[in-house]
Amino acid sequence: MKFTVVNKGIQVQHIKVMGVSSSSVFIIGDTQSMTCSSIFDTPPETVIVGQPPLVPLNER
Amino acid sequence: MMQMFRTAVVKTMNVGNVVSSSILNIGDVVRYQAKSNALAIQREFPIYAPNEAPLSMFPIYCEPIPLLKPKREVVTVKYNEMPLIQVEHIDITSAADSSALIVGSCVHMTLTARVKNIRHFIFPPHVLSKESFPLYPIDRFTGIIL
Repeated sequence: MKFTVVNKGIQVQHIKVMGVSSSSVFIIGDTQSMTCSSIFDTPPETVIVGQPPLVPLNER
Repeated sequence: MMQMFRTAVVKTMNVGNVVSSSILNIGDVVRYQAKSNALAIQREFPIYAPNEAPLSMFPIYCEPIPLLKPKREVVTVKYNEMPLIQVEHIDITSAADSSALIVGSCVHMTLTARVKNIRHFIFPPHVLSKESFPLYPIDRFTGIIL
C-alpha cells in the first residue's frame, strides 16, 4: 500500500479549546507516531460507605 | 528528518492552566513521554490522613497497557507544497492529566493517564425509591460497603 499526502496551505484565524485532558493532544504541526492511553475508574464500584475518615484507607 | 515537518506560525496564544504532567511546548520535539497517576478521593467530610492510600493499593496503576503495533508498514510519501501552518490566535482554558499542547512538530509521543475516583460516604447515601429517580440505582449498588 502506498499513501501519498499533499499538504497545501492552511491558515486558521481563531481556535478556542475549553480543555485538553487525560492523555490527549493539541498540536499545530506534524507528527509521526502517537500513543495515547487513558484508564479512568469511577463509581459505582468506587463508592465506599462507612466509618469516620480518620482511619486511613489502607488500614481498613 | 525535520525537513518533512512543516513550520507552525502562531501569532498569539492564551493558555490558562497546564497541570498534572502536561506540557506546553513551542518548538520541535523528537520524543515526548508523559505519565500521570491520579487518585481523587471525595469525602462526605473533608478530613484526610497523610499517605492514607498509597497508589500501590490499586491495580489500576500497575496494569500493563497493551502496545498496538501496525500490522504492516504503510509507505507514505509526503509533499509539503506550503511548508507553513498559520494560526492567528489560540485560546485554551486548561490542559491536564498528561496531555500535550504543541506548537511545532513532534516525532514520537507516548501519553498515559490513570485516574481513579473514590467517593467516600460516611453515612449511607439517601436511598431513593425506583419510582422517584430510576437513574440512581443505589439499592442495586455492588461496591464496597464497610
